[in-house]
Amino acid sequence: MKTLLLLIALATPAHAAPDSTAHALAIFAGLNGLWYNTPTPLPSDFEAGGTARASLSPHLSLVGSSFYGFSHPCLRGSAGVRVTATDVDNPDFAIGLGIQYQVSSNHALRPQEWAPDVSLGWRPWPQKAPKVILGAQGAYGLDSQQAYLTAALRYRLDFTGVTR
Amino acid sequence: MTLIHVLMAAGIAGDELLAFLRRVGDALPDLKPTADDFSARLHAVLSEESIAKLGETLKVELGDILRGRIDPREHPSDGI
Repeated sequence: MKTLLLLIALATPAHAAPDSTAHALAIFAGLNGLWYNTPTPLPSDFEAGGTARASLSPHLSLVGSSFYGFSHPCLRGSAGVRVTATDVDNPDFAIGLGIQYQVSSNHALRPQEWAPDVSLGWRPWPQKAPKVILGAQGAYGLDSQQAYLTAALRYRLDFTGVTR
Repeated sequence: MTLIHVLMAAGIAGDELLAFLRRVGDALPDLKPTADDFSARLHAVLSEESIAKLGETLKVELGDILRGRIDPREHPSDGI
């Protein structure tokens, strides 16, 4: 949680492009289904928490998260960078490549390490439910060589505004 | 580790995501066309050519950021 708050504190933009309709800072409430390495039909764990991002340029964002796992009690956080690899002007679908440093209260389950990730985000109902995002993320721990897969539901919180 | 190496390493994680999209398509036939579409887009993103091009773009944008010019965008993947 401290990591996430620090990320938010650092995300204040120095100068915003005058014609931008996007907000640099956004915060999301989130639920995850999580798999560790093995492709079992049901998730290994369920998590609740939030994510935040500071969009600095069309392709580059700072990102962070904080989640609590219920099946295997664990409070974890992460912070890093993400590069949008698809159309930067499409607000309804994007794929991002990045890397985050992970910290957790359960090192056996979630080692503290750098983990590159690939994230897919999709706004399936941009008119009816513009704040709802479905997504998925694959991550790979560089030290543990453990793979993580996350199926994600996000709800954008209101105070940062919604562009459409 | 350079920026390009980071982006390439993310490709390892991309294999997990591709496998997940396949499983979604197999388990939920109604979503298969969407899952296949997303898989195709992910394949395109993870190519070496695509990542190299991305690296070049990022050099320009990093320069802008260091000069204090912030130009935000809405990316649903940033919230994941």
